[in-house]
Formats: sequence, C-alpha cells, structure tokens
Amino acid sequence: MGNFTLLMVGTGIYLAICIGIGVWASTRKVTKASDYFLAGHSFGPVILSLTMMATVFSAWFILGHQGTLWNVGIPYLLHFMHVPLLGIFAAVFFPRIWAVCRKNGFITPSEMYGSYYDSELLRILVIVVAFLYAIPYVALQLRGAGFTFNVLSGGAIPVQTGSVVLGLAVILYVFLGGLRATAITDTLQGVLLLVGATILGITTVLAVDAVSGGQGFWFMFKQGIVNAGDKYITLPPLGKMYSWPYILSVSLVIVGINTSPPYLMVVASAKSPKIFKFQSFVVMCIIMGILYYLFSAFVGIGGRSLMTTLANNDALSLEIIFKYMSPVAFLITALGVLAAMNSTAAGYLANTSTILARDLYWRYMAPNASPRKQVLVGRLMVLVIVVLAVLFSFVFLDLLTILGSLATSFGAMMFPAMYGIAYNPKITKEGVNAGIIAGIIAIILTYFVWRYPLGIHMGGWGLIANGVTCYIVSKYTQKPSLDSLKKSHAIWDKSVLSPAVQEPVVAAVEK
Amino acid sequence: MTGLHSGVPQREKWIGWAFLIWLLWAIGPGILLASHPVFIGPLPVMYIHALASWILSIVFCYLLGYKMKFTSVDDFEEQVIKEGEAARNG
Repeated sequence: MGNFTLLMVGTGIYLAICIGIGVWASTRKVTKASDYFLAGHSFGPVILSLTMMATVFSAWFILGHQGTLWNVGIPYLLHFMHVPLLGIFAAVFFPRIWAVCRKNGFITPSEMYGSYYDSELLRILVIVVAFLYAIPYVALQLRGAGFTFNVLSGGAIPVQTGSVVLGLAVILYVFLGGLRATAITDTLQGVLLLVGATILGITTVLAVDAVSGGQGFWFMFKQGIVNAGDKYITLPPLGKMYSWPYILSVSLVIVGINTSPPYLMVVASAKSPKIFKFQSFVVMCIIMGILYYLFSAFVGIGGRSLMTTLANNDALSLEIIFKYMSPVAFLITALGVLAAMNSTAAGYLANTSTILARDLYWRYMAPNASPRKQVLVGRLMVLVIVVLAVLFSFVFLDLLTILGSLATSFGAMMFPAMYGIAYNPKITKEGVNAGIIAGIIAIILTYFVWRYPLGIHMGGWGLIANGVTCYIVSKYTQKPSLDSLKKSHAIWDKSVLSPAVQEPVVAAVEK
Repeated sequence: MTGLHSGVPQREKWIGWAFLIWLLWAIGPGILLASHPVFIGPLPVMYIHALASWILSIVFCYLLGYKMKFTSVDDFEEQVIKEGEAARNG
C-alpha cells in the first residue's frame, strides 16, 4: 500500500473515530447547561492535562516553530522559553481562577469578568477578544491541515480541500458532543501527537546521522552554518523581525493562550484545583519541554542538514515525514500532526461557541432560553465559527507562526483583568476596559499600519499599551466593591468575610 | 498592609523573585550568545543555555506546584463547590 492510500485510509478511520465519540457524547443526558458546556465539571488530571496540552499543541507548534527555527537559526531557541512560561503561569493563576468560577457558578470567562468587575462593557469586550483570538487560531489549524494533506499527498490534495475536510469533521463531533466529546477526542489525540512528535524528532536525528556519514547527530549544529551561513548562529540586528526584542516580546505574548477566554473555559471544568499542579509541572514543563527543547529543536536544526531550500518554511516537518519515514512511521506521524491541529481547532470551537451562546445569545437576546435552547445555539455557533475561520484561512495567507502570534496577541489582552481577579484588587473595571481597548488598537496599528516598530512584536505593543493604560486609569477610579472581593479574594482568605476585617480591607483597597 | 489583599500573600512573595531570576537567566545570556556565538566542541553554547533554562524552569514549576501553599483553595475546596452548586441552582 502506497503512502497516499495509507494516508487516506488512516485519516478516514481516525476522523470516523472522532465523529463516533461525538455521537456517543450526544447521547449523554443534558439537564443543565454546564453538562454540555463544561461536561459537568468532571475532568480529572489525565483528561484535563491531555486536553489542555492537545489544545496548546497546534499546527503552529508542530509545523510553524520547526520551520522558523530552520529559517532563523539556532538563536530562535530563545523563543522556546514560552513553553515553561505557560506552565509557570498555569501554576500561579489557574487554581485561583478555578476557585472563582466554581464558587460563583461561572461557566464562561465573560460571566466571571463581567460579574467581578460589574461591567457590561467588559462582558462585550471578552466576547470580542474571544472572537479575535478564535478565528485566526482555528483558521491556522485548518490551513495547517490543508497544508499537511497537500504535502503528504505529494500535491494530489489541494490545500483548500484538506482544510474543508478537517473543518467538516470537527464541526460534526463538536456540534454533537460539546466539550465532553472534545475532551475525550483531545485525550486520544494528545497521546497520538506525543507519539508523532517523538517519531518526528528521532527520525530527524537518524537522518542527520545518516547524511553525516556516522558523525553523530551533533553534526547538525555546525552543518547548519555550512548550509546557511553565519546568520544561522546569530540573531538579526535590532529593529528587524526575529531580533531579540521581537523574540522576547512574542515569547511573553504566547501566555495569551492561557489568558484567552476560550482556553480559560477549560479551567472551570476541572474536578479539583490540585489537577493544575500536575498539568503545569508534569505536562507543560516536562513533557512539553522534552517535545520542544529536544525533538522540535532537532527537527528545526537538523532540518538544515537535510534540506538547504524549502518553498515554505512550514513544510519542513512534513517534508521530513514524506521523505525519511517508513510507511508505518509515516502514518502514525501524519496522524499525530493532524491530531495536533484537530484537537486545537475542536477545543477552541467548543469553547468559543459556548461563549457566544451564553454571553451573547442567552444574556442579551433570549434571557429565558432553556438549557436545551442554549445548547442548540451553541451548536449553531460552531458552524458560524468554522465558516468564518475557513474564509479567513483562504484570505489571510501569512506564515503559520505569524497567524498564531496574531491570535495570541489578542488573547493576552485579558491578562490585567485576570491579574486583578486573582491577585490585585486594586485593578478597576474602568482600568481593565480602557486597557483592553488600547491594547487591541495597538495590536492592529503595529501589525497592519506600522509593522513591528523597534522590532517589538505587535502583541508586545498591545501588552504595553494595555498595561500602562490599565495602571493609570485604575489609579484614579473606584476600586472593586466588597461584593466583588467576596466573589474572588475572599475565597482564599476567608477572614475578609468577618466584620472585624471587612472595614480595614475596604480601606486598604480604596487607599 | 497585612498582606491580606495586597496582591500576593506574604508566603508567596518569593515567586516574584524566583520568576525574575529565571527570566533574567533565560533572556540575558541568550541575547549575549545570539550576538557572539560560542561553541563547546560540536555544541553551540546557545543550545546548552536553552537546555539549562528549561531545567531551571522545571525546578521553578515544581516549587510553584508542590511547595507553594494555596492554603485557601485546598481548605475551601468542598465549601467552594457547594457554594457554586447553590449559585447555579438558585
């Protein structure tokens, strides 16, 4: 059986399993909205961690970074610090966000932010951020899938066809099974992408060893310079793309994955906050660290020894799969790559559709809608988002790395609001609202009008504009009420509820 | 301030310092090495530094996850869930 037939049969079986899980999940009884939207808060450490990992590990992470490392050179490794940063951020923030959501019965981040800051404008802004984040991120996955089918089929399947095929499969199982189906498929896909990424890294090392005539895989470090020149070992000068301010700012902005409303929704679905210890330490720092600092680095750096030219940087991993793997390894790795994209698209689709159904439809258009009707609208929203994402992926043809960092830039705009709920009660609703608006404007200006001023990534400018505006406005506006403090800060410091402590706390906060 | 609502509780103030040290280590030598590449044998020091940053972050994340005390969340877990159920149903 040739590689093309293997790819078709394997993909068919794999997508059929995903859709089957969606059908099974749709038979589960839904009595409350949270049964569909949050799977009844039932996720334990393994499912939650793999779901979160699979959602993070996307087309950008399995194709984009390796291709950029191949192009920019070894200094791009500086950028990989965003991986442990995601784990560190999760350990510090997620237990508290979980507690706030569970105590107050919040399902979506918009409910949490809107209620704590007592602001309708903020509820709308969270929806806007969720939308601005999800569309490019889902588009990125669909384009990545189209690209994967195209390269691995030897050009027989057009990019657009591949994107539409994955889009249809994701629509089906998310539409039917909601977050439960997404989480179960993500768990399976998490395992698949782990295996696929490992095979990809090992294959690259073996291929490098073979072309070096047995000099060992470290041959690739110096061979990169031979093949690409000195630029392969030094960063571009200040002010240019991929200079150190760019890499540093984009690394920090990737935390926008954790603060983005669609990703944050998964936090509330955990059984217990203790799960985040495992998720941040074992999964994000150790497992993802191995995938990045070892396997992805080997693919990106070793790829230079294997290929001196590429029509598109993003094709590096796929070319290695296509040219250097046995049929079985080819199939498993190809499915692992597709799993990375499928799981990310599904996770964001499920959660963004929930945000639109609960926070837009239920709150502003049909406040008396039953849980069943909310679920129905949530399902319809899945269709809307996929159609928009497909259109976006056809029109916006930038590299995967750029597309991903644009999405996370918008996601990062929620950072001050989250910091206010979890750690700093001095942050006000006016500060958060003004900050988000200033940040979004800064991102748009520094990407579409004046790209990367001083070599700093648009998300970096967004964070600077957001943070400074939020700080200044918060300084001169009314601090959150005692009622708001009870919704969050009082959870981990119950003494705030006693009358003796209430007054000093309010005074301290208002000071 | 008693540390009650001053942002980060007293017990956790070391997080900020640990994070700063990690960040400086991850960024500083990286920027320097990116301008002046050095090799130890076949390995670029830049790669060794990246691996060291990763290992340091594992230690840091272990401290965060397993040594930092989220007293309230652990202690109030059941109460938090009960209150949440009441909020949703009521």
